[in-house]
Amino acid sequence: MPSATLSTRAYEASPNVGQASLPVTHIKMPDVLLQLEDLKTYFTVEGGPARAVDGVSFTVEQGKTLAIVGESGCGKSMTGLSILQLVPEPAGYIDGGKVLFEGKDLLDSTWEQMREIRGKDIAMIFQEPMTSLNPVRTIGWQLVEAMEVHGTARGAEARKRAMDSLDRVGLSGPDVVMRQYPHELSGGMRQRVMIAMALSNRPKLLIADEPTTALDVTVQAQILALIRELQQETGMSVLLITHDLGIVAEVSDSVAVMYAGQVVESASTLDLFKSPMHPYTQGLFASIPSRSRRGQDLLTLDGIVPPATAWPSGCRFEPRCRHAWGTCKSVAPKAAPKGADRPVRCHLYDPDIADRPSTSAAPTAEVLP
Amino acid sequence: MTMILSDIIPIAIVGLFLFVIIRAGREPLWEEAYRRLGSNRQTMAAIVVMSLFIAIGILDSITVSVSNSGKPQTIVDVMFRGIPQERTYSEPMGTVTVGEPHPHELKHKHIFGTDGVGRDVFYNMLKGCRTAIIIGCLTQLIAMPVALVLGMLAGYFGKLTDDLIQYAYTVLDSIPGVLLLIVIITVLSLKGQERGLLQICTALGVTSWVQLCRLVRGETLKHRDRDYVRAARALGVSHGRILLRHILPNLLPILIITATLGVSGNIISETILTYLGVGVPPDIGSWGNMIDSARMELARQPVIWWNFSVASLAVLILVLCINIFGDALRDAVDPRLRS
Amino acid sequence: MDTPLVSVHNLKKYFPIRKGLFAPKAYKRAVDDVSFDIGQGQTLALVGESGSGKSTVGLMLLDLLEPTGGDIIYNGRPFSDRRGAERLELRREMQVVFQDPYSSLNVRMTVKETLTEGMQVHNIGRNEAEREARAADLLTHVGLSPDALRRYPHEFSGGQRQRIAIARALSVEPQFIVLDEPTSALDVSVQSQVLNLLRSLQKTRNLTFLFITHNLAVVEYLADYVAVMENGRIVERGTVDDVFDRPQQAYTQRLLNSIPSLDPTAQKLTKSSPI
Repeated sequence: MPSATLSTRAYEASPNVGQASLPVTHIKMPDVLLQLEDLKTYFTVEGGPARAVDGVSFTVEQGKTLAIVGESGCGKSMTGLSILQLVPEPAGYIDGGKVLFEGKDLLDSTWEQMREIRGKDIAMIFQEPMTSLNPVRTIGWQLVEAMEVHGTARGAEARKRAMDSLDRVGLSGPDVVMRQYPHELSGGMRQRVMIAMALSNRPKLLIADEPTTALDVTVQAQILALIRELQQETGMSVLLITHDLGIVAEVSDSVAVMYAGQVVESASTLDLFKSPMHPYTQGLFASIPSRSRRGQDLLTLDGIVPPATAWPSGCRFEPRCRHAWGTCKSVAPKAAPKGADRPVRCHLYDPDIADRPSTSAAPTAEVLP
Repeated sequence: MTMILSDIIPIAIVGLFLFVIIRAGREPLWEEAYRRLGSNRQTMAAIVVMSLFIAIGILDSITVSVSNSGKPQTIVDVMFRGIPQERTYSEPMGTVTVGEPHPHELKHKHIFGTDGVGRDVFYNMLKGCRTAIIIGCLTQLIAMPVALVLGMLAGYFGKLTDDLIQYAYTVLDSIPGVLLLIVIITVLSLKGQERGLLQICTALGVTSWVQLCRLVRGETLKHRDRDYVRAARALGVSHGRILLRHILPNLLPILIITATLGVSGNIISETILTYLGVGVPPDIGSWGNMIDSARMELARQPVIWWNFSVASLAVLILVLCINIFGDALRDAVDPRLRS
Repeated sequence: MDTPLVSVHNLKKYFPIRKGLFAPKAYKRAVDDVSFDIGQGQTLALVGESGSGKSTVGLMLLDLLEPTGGDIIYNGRPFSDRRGAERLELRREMQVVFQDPYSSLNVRMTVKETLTEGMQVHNIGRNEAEREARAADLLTHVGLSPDALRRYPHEFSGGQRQRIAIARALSVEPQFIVLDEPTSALDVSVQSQVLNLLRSLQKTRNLTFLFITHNLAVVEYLADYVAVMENGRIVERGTVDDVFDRPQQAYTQRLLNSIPSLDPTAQKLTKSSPI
């Protein structure tokens, strides 16, 4: 349900907001399907809590694709799992924040309510379909079960729908596939089955966690195209979790870049690729090998991601940032400073920070491939 | 103090285990495993009780003097010197003998009673510790090298070697175990050698290596195709060195755990063997003998239950402790249970 | 081109498929008549999808897998011509870096032991102290601190482990290195560090690389020549410019089309979906 007044956090998170000078109440928010507010997911380990997700906020709009981009250890997969409350227990727990799905906070839901939502309103597909599919049950059995569990269809009707969905995801000979077992299919086919299963109950939101990382490049292209087509056909939203900027460019409408458990930059895809603002995002772009960079060293991000039990105080990217100065070590940057037209977690864009150096962090030609 | 060969062996065995344990403690894998073991109270209790049994076994291995009749006296014997032998059975904490036409006064209190020849049952039980531990450990020491070498060769080289070794142990495994045991022990005792601990351990060892061999072979297969073994091959490292330095250390966890659990299996096997008549001869104290005597004792009037109960309890406690320890060890070493 | 360092002629590897006791013998042709040359100091990228046979070619080149047919000629002499000690010498000259940093190092050996093992086999360094010094040197060359020697692999990140694996390969002073997807398991920022390292090592030591990968962006950045494999055969080969700009085969074209571009305005993947 669209609301006329917005919380300031929603304002910060939405990538489609224009100039900072527009008064808040005049903006009509496009239909927001999923909104995360300051989500925190921690793990109890030796040495203190591991803050895997530490204050993540973003918005997924109706019918659009948001890509969450980050490298290993940034918390993107855990964010996806937290939405469906599939965080591995007992070590993991959701420490705070809100997960607003169609306006209602999922973190307030009972176990039964979540069970209803999982697989029906929100579906998830994972990187390795072999471990997501039951190896001792036929494909047909698993598809039908997915529907029967949510009461979407039963028996013969469910089987028909299952075959239709297999056909829709591009598997030829769906009647044969229905009787096959997961190990008899190739990686690409298995992922298509996963998609079919995820889509069988017509979800409003599809969370795809690195769906093509384990696949060959040609199959990856087909799967991505398929997801995009299905999205346009059904009007569902997609939350795509990936580390590959190429995929982001191809299939997403907006992007949130994550580092060290936080969102460091949010933008529409076009804006992000035109001018990445956060030094980490710039570093990611600079690291991509390409023909134009032949013969030269790739600009690298020195160092490694710090452990989640000991995020640096102040800016978490500071130890690896080439623009860092004194304040960065002691003061954590705001998520959406006034000096930028979109959320960028960096002091370089914050006019309130006194000792900001005059050189801006505008991307130079060397950063973009 | 005269040390006979049979005294050195148990101490050597225990020394060997301690050495391996301490040496392994240097590796990070084992360091963490020990820490995990130490933090679990149940495991520590099991280890303490096990150590008690082992301590008694060691005490029973050190000969201090020779008795009047020429029998070597160990520390345990010395400890029990003050407790005289009675005429015949007596109940635990009893005052008179039982099973005789006329009960006689007992010369001393016996906590667990006395057996048919009047010996203190507690004393018998303690004497049985050494036997149990020797059988448990020595058997493993005989079985393990065989299983290890054959398993590694079969898993690493594959093809013909693997086929031959698999054929060998499949055939061996197809012969009923108990039958084979009886045959081996009898054969080993034929040549004038008395049926002693060594023969029994050999027989048990020869029949129990198959299970471990299969495990070793499986693990070797798993590790043989790992990248780091390939990298070592690419470096030119010889097969022998790869087996020793790369494959064997990765087999150690499963070896140690199977060996530990095998010890308890062997202790139980001994009691069965004695029951079948091919176990430890009666002059060497053993729990198997105590249990075996129950055949007659339980049929008597009044029922003589304390002899075999104490022995069974001893077996139960020791085997339980070993199994708890083995399970805990397996969990402690499992890399997946690490955070 | 003067004599190539590595020359492969009609290489074949067939794996028997067991069909049953009485069925005729069937074979999976993992590598089916592959030939190529690599000149000294050059990088040949072997590209293909899973099942194309590229890793199998790599293993045969390293003498880790027996070919079913064909010849591998190194420095003018075929493998089959060398026996015993000469074969061992081959191992010194040809080294490998594998894909998975978590399984390519023996977790029970310290870094020092890993780096000095090859030296011991080939009698490099007169004594233990000298070998340790060389190992420390190697670590600095790959960008790690020498006090890593005393540590175990699990104390390092994926990227650092790959560096250790590279150091291990260099420990015997090879001429030729087979790199089987060395950066595929790494994050893109770590990948760039490792790629820079490989480039600089190649320049300073005049190394020859066989780079096996499915990542075409890395290929166009690093490689001199490309050979595209499909189902055990090379379907196209040439310089990077030739193959990427003027692909001759439909399969190559399909591969190139599948690479996601970094331009969100040209969402070419979703325009047409070939099945």
